[in-house]
Amino acid sequence: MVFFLLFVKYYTKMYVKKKTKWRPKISVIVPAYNEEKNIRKCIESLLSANYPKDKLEVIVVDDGSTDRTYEIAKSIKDKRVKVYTKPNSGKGASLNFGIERASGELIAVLDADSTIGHETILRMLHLFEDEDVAAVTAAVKVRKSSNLIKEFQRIEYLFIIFTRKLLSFIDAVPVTPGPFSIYRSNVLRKIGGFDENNLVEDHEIALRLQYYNYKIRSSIDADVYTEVPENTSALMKQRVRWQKGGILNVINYRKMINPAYGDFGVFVLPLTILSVFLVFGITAITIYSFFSHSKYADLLGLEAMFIGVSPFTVVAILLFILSLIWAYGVVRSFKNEVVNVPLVVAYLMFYWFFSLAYNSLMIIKEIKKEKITW
Amino acid sequence: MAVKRRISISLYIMAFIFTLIIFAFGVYVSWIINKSVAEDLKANIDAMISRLQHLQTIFLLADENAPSFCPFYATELGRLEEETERMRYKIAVLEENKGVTDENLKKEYFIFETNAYLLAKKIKEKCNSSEVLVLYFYSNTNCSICQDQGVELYHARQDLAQQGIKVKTYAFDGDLNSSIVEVFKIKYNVTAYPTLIINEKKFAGFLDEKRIIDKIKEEFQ
Repeated sequence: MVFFLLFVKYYTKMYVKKKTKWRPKISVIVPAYNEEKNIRKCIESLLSANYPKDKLEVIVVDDGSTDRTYEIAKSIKDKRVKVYTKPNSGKGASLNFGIERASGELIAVLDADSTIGHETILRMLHLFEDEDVAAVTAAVKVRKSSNLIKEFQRIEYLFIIFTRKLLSFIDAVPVTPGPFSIYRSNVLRKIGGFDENNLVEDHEIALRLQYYNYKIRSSIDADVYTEVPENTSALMKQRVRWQKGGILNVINYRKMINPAYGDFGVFVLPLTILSVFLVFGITAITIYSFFSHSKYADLLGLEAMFIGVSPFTVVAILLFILSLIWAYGVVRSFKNEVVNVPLVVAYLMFYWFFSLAYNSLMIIKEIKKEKITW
Repeated sequence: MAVKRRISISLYIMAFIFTLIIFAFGVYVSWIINKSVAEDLKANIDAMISRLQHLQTIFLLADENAPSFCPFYATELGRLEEETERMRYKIAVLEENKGVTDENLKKEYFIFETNAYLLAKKIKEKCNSSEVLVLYFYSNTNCSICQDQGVELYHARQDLAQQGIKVKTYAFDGDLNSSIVEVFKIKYNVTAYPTLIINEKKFAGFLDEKRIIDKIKEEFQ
């Protein structure tokens, strides 16, 4: 409901396309670990981007890959590309390694399994015109495929782009996505770079920027395509990491759950924690109402289903329909994306069960004190 | 470094109001649906009442020749009995699952049930039949085991029917502010729930299926 109202309020600002003549030097850091399949495409997308050649620097940081990532990156002969290799030490450390060597006024981070579009950088630049803006996020998308799990994530990512844009209007963007985000290099250095021991370093850096009251803006049309898990177990692993990392970060920054941090402090941060309880709470109520039916209903059989209806059921159906309309509307607002109603319905159903599953798994792992890794 | 932090209070209030409207709308829609369901049930009860009156009239008219009409009574009452039972469960489901308590609907149903019981009792005497009449008093507010009692009674009746023992049950909500129910309660001194009256004998407290069967069999012999 809050997002819908934000949309109504900021509808006119949502799709504003501005241009800027400002062309600062940008250093794009590409941290890579065993990405021999994707690294070439990733670098090539940067090199072919619409941006002055003398203003772009690509810093590939091979994080001790055991495959041919380093060799492939090294084989790309272009003055703009600098390739480094170092022993494996994680994504945060690789990013900081890159930041130390970056000379740009802006520093971008591009995951090695992602590619940017021809106009992506230019579409994000105008958002830096406000000097208080420290970071700009891209529109991270998933390519259409025949894999249902990927298709669900394609819809989810569109949804996230849309909501993040809305949150940027109330200074409440909670994450600068790893696949592609651009930062002001002086700010990044001033706040100490990336956290090297974080499960979700792109979430932590955004929280830190918010903590120091920097602005984060979001682009809705700066397309970046990323690779996503293609089966449920890989997706589950990713989400358990995101969820646990996210919750730990919110706990670390709990001082910000405070009216002094405006909408970010009273709405977005509490929502991260509340969402876990909501998933379990609503599921519990649903299960309870399903099993706590009158014993006479069993004697009546199927007929019992059609004897009246509880307000809870009507509200649940109503909310589902409204969510469906909203989700479909949001996804359809991306003109180049093809979606159909059954897919959105399936997405809504799947994601409910899926979030229930990964939240449960997270709790189980927590109880068993199992370590969550990348 | 200059995010001007603010809380969009009006936004949250609006969101809250809209959410409330959605909930209110949901409650309203369910109320409309349930009202029409209750009206349907009421119409069904009316139809059952008129069939019962029809049967009562025949019974009064055929007073002298009652025995020859006995098979007819048995069939008609049997049919009504089946519908009565389903109606009882429907009202219970509506009340327990969907949170709809329509007192008038229940009162009307109890009037019908009482009439059906009285007629069944008279027919039993006239036709000298061996069927067992069971009155069941329950409460929906302070008797958590009453629903189980209802189900046990149902299964006992099914079991006995297979053994050729006919049982007719008439259930009354003791909490309902109905003069008919009050008269029953006084007549049988019903003070606790559940209470079963098997062929005029009172059994207060929960009886499981087996014990119900035993008691009824005692009566039957």
